[in-house]
Amino acid sequence: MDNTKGKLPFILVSPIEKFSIELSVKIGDAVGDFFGYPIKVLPLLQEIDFAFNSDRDQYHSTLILEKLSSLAPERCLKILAITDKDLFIPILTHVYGEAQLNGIACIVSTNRLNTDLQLSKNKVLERIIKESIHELGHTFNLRHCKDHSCIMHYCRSLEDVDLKSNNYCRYCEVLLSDAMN
Amino acid sequence: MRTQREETTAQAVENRYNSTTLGNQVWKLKQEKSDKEDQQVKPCIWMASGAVAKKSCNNFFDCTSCKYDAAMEQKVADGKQISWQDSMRRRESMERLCRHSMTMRMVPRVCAYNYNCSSCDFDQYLEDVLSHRTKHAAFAIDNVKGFNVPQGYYFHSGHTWAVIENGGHIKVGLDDFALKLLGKADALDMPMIGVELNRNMPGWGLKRRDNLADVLSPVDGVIVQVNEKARRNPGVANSDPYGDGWLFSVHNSDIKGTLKALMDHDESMAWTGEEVNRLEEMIESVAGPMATDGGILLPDIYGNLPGLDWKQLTRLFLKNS
Ligand SMILES: [Zn+2]
Ligand SMILES: [Zn+2]
Repeated sequence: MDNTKGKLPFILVSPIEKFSIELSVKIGDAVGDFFGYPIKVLPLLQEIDFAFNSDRDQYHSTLILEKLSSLAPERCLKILAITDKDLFIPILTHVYGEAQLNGIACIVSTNRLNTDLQLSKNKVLERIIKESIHELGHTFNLRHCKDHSCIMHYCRSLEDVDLKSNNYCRYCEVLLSDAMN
Repeated sequence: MRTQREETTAQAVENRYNSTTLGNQVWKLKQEKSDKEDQQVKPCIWMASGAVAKKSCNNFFDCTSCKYDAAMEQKVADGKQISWQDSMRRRESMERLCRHSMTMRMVPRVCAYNYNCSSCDFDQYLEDVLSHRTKHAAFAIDNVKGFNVPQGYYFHSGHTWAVIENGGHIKVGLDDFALKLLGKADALDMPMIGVELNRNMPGWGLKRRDNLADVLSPVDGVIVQVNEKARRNPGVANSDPYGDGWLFSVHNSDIKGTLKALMDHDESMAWTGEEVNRLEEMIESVAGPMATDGGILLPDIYGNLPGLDWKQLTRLFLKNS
């Protein structure tokens, strides 16, 4: 999938290791519609062993973001990496995703979003898209929002994720359009 | 690898889902109600003996400080009322329960002394030694943004708790928030039995590396028992803050007044939520804005985030300045 002909900046969706290209394309479609940027799906990282922490049996997301931002191709506005590995930062038990605030790279993990075999695929995809829009919001310099229904609300659990909407509140919407212009 | 909390959350969501779609919500409500009823029925020793028809205990089974008990004793003395002891003496000897079993301090045990407690070694032993060691009944725990807040416990804003034990002693300890924030103490500086604790005053201390922190006592009272296990191994408090990690048992005859000065469960929950927000603000001021989603703070926040200042943390959260 490459609709990035011309000189427009694009958002790069980057599946990590063997993460499904098909699912990455679906996530890209949703994110592209939402932000109004062309999407390119391209794996940038074949492995993330460098970020593995054996004590925690998890991957340190901050290190992956540093690596990704060094690999950004020309005209790439933002990188959204997707992995099925479990991510962490040192003070938290785990993260669904992390972003470089006002930076280029963000990452979302599907590891904890698919908790229940009885969940429909759509439900899981909805969570992945919410987290993708949340993390991309951070790359556009948005901070966490107190509004529980705003997509920039900080969610500790899946219950919180399912409760928030898939949209920015009016306040965050304004900040986002400022950042995008 | 999923956390306990997420599983319970998922379970709770599923239960709610099931109860609406399968229409067994009525069954659930009934269940909850009967649980509640069980909790509320605390037969007073006068009722359990059959001396009066209906009276539930509202004094934590501490007869020595109970106004109802005193009034009933007066009635007995005036010849207007059968004593609970005489009422029990009407039973077959094998059905004469020890008064400590009737007040739920003890597993069922038969009285061998014809209710002359003053001549019973066991009664003396229990009053002097065992009473503050009898386990608090199992409690339900709520979780606020990753921090445990048990039901039936009363909280003080210096991140300590108090709970009433059957028999009327008050157990105190540090809360889950403080223990996760400050991590495992290298030492707990605990006072001895007989020392008086004063509410809102430093009652004991903890040491981590070269740092010290005073902890404010949540209650007034005289220490009747110190948890030696926690003194020897402070990590017990971190692993089980509301159970085996208790710190002291104190005596205070005004239990109701003591509790009134503390936060009840709803207040404790709301306050804990605000404290987590304050902590997150502090973390962001040290580590920069969080640009993540998901997860809860790992235990030993002080140890995991080198930029945090011990003095500032303890002043803000233990209120010990
Ligand atoms: Zn918002
Ligand atoms: Zn976030």
